[in-house]
Amino acid sequence: MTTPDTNRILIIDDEPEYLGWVAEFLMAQGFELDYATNLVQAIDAVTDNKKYTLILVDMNIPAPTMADLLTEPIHQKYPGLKAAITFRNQGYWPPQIIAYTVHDDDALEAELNRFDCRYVLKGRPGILKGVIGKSLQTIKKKQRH
Amino acid sequence: MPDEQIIDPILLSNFIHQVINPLNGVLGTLDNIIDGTVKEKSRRQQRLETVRAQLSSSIEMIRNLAFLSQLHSSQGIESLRASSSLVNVPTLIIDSIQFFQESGQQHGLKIWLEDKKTQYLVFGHRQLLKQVLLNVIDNCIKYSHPDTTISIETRVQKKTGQLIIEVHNDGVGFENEERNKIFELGYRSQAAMDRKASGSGIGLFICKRIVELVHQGTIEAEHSSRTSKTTIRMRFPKYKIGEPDDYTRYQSHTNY
Repeated sequence: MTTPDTNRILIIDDEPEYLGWVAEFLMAQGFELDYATNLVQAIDAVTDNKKYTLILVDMNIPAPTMADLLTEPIHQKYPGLKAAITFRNQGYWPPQIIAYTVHDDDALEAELNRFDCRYVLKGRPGILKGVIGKSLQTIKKKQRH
Repeated sequence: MPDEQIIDPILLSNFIHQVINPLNGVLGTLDNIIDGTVKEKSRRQQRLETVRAQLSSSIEMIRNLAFLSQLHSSQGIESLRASSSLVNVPTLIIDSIQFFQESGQQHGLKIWLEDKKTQYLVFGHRQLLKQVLLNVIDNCIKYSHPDTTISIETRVQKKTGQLIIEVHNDGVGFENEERNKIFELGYRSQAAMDRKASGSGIGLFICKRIVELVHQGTIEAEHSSRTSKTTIRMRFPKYKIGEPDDYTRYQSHTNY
């Protein structure tokens, strides 16, 4: 597991204006937040020597100038998936990555399952909060050991 | 024809994405208020105002779909034309600007009507004209650079008597060869896709149909990649009331 060196969470979403409630929920628990609005910023943020406690990643994000990286059709459809896989390959542990999207897509779910990443549908904020809460508990436990 | 498809599945999927995002924001904020995540009264009030703006935005998006269906038939267009009346242009623009007060602030944008005094009048369908302005300004907000200004200019062209409304913003735009395509149903410019993963692809299409089919006007767009300025320009023809010589469409008074 990538050990976070700060109490920071990264939110990757191209419409962060609609995620004020997630920010409020996380900040109420003492977390600081960073944002990325596309795949380039997301990958830059995570390779910039920052270790996040948790990364929330929307599957539908733009991927400007990164067409060459997205060779598989499912990555072209969901560039956020490419971000999640990249983070897993950098040592982030499954509970540290929560993927979410508007679309209920079996192919996407199967791909995320291959990397043990959790997947939450947008429009169900209670479920997302629950998943975030459980992930944070699991991460804390792991850190203690 | 019952089997005729007005909207293709990809367009519908984009539309759903666009509507669910603000509604998700509304639900999440209400949850935070109910479960006590938002404690301070002043903060609750502020969050409720945001929720209200997000709900209004979703309703306008859904309204686009209703107009899309109405603008699909000549009968629907005729019935919209029949509901036209004289509309005060600055009031219409100010109403539309106020709609975006909250989201404009969130993006660090100022939205500005240059000439608030001249009371231009246009003969048209008030709700449809407002929808056009809402769609155009919404696009400007989505694709403007932060901390810039969206300005709206109004004037009457002396030579033709046409009323011209121009909406200017500073942001990502489109290539010149795309300037007509951006008004096609479902079309999104590459620059727009690089900024936002999905857009409904309906807004500007609706604008074109409303301006051209219901108001016999024109709508066009231009963007300069050098200055990053985008202009959406609408022209509405001079309106004639009564006898052929009785042109009273654009009465301009400073005291309306």
